[in-house]
Amino acid sequence: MMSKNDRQVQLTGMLYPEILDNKEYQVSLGEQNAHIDRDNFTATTLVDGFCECELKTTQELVEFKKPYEDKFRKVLDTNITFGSWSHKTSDKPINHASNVRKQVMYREMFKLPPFQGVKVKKEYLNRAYNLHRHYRASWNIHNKERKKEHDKQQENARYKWKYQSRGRVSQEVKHTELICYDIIHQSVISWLQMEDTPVQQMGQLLSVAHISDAHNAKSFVNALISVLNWCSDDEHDTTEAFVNAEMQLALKVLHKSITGRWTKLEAKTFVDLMRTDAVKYSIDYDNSLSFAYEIVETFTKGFVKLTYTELLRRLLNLMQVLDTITNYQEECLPWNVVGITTLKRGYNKPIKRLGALYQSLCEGNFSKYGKLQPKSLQQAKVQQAMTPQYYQSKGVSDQISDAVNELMKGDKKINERAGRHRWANVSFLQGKLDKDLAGKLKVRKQRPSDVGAVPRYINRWVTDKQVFARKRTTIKGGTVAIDCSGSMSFNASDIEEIVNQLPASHIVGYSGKGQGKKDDRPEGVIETFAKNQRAITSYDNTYICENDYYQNYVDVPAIMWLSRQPKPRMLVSDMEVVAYAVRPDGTDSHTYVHNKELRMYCEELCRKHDIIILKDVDEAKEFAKSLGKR
Amino acid sequence: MSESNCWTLAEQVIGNSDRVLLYGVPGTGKSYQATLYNLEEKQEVVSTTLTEDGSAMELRGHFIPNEDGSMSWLHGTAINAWLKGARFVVNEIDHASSDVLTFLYSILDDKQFAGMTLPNREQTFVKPSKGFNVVATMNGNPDSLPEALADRFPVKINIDKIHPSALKKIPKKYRKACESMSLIQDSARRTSIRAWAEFNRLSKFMTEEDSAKVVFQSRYRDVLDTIENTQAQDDE
Repeated sequence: MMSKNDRQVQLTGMLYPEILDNKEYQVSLGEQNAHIDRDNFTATTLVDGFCECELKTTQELVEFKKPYEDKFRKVLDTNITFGSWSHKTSDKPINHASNVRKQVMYREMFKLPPFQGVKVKKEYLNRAYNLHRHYRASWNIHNKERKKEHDKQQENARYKWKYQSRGRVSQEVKHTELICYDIIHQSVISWLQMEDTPVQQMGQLLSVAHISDAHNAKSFVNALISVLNWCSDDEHDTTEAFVNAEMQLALKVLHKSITGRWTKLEAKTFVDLMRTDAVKYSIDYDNSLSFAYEIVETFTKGFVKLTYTELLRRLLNLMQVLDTITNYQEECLPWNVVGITTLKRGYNKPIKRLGALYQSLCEGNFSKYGKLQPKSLQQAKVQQAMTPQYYQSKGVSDQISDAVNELMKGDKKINERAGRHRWANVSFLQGKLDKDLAGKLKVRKQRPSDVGAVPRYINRWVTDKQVFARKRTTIKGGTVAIDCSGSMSFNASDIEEIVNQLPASHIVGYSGKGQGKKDDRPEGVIETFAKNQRAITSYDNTYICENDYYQNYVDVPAIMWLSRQPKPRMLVSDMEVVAYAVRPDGTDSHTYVHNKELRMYCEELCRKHDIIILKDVDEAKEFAKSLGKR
Repeated sequence: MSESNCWTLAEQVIGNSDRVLLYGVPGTGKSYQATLYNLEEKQEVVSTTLTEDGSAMELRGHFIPNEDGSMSWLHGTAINAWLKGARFVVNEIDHASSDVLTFLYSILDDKQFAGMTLPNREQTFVKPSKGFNVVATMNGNPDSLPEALADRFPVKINIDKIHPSALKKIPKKYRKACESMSLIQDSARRTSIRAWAEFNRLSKFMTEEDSAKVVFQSRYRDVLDTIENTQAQDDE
């Protein structure tokens, strides 16, 4: 692959920012970082020679495949056609440098609209807005004059010229590419060399690119995956030796001269190979048959020496990140979200989300995502296996989504974000704490140690030499709030087990009821199940259970109550939080609000107040055990 | 100088001031407008374009063989303009050779002092007639002129806009690109309005791309891109 520096740079590809403000600009030629400085009237252009990308025309593709079709038609004695389906061809010359120059101009032409209350940096919002800039430019090119004519002729007409997709505008924008194919190849190859998916590097490249560039990267990764799939899918044998043998066979067939003597088996293998994504990709982007196979071979035989399994793992991880990026970009495609009335204001929400994604990718430390652990959980140094499921690390795409949500948070008030709602009025009830747990707490306040100042257990000198006393620093306790709504589906014995595991704890259950029932009972209750070494004898005898409180509506009051209690604070909840819906005039609408925003809000409250979330009673029991053992 | 100013000023000054220098990037219509503004009734226009190889003879006059086989004197362009009280338009004044420059100093003197004896047999003494005025044009900056010559032009106008009448001949869709690209000082990036006029003419019977190719040569893609960029802009 030819490096950019080796290329003879043609000095064509000049920027003319003069059209923006009729001032003369000092334009220098560059190979990177094309930009316009409006303050100093300078600019750097990306010359045309930077891009040497070529794609076959449809005709050239047909001509490329024809000798193979002719040959194997004879060998296999059947009608062989390879077709042009899923190939990438272009009947127009491609110059990515020209597209980059346009991008630079569009960035100056269409300023970023104001965004309020976002934590996302302006640079990333600008990157996210680029797709809309292209759309707006393309729309202007195709529609500006026609719209003027339309408006003139039909001044008071009902039908307005729409900003949504017109003709080929959307297709043009969707297929605009900014990054040369060899840069994509080099980037993917360098990403694959890293054991951990280099999310930041991927973000840096793809955030300045367009959706079609991300799709190009996906196609390349897909071609490499296709190689591994081809080599490992026979009879489900995926051992390294088998994959290697299949790989060599494929390479042998792909490298074999077309004029040579072909057996029927070889010909059949070749025909099958020609229909794989790997070979199609090689034909399109490298004018060869084995480009993708050779890349895979470089990784498995070259200096990196990866196993096929490891390479596949890395490829799948890359694909996961690329999928996430393209999903977010798809949400931003202007023709899906922009209307005539929003032409001037842009379309802030999806842009903010895409900007947040770019910032998360470029600056995020994904080891902290998954979920942020509360301080007390970190200090507890709980074993990895005992870490509540809620905080265990997730897949890359989930982590990225969490990072984006983190940035989008606080963008609006929760009542605006989640829809108008209120929480139930809560009554605090003391359960019947008939069971005495004092016995369980009769543990020594001090324990023997081999270091200290004053010997206390001198008799131990002859055995383990732990003659000193060390004060126990922690005692099994803290506060636990248990979500007793129907979705938790637990029974009386589960509650009792938790109480037994954490005898020094203050344990409460909370639950609410629907608005429809007009009676004197409270809307929501927080009922004490255990306190001061006394506990309920049976869950069945609690007010919550006896009065059929099996709904939510008290999640936030419970969390806020928990936030004022001694640590460690534990919330046993599946976080399926529900609130009462409220009409704009403030009256109850007798429906409910249950959505992602509300859930995120509650999770954020927990994080803020150092509350550990335990997903269900089983996890609570396990976690209680792990605390109890300390 | 704003768009209205440079050409409005030029229109007010030319013909009313005896010596005017118009300078600025090429292709804005300086020479053309110099021959049109404020001409008196029946006033002639005498134009000349100076080059490094030109000689004063062309401006002053010279002998030519006549039908008798002898030689007779023919006035040069400058003397002609003097005698006829014409408008003398001197293009590319900054390209004058030293020979021409010496002669120009005399021609451009104040009218009340100006006068010279021609080197013909009669040794005719000539003076500028009433109505004679000079409009000189040049590309670039008047700082590059010899001080004495620059001093002979008390009025200097920087023409930094294409004349509206010239621009009107370019269709609307090319106009902004044409104006922006033709007023650039950097010759490597500048296009000329003449090229745009030709491009427009050719594009009526050729494709836009082909016309751009033949007119703008290697820069044709830049031109097409700039046209597209102007179309992509929002209306102001």
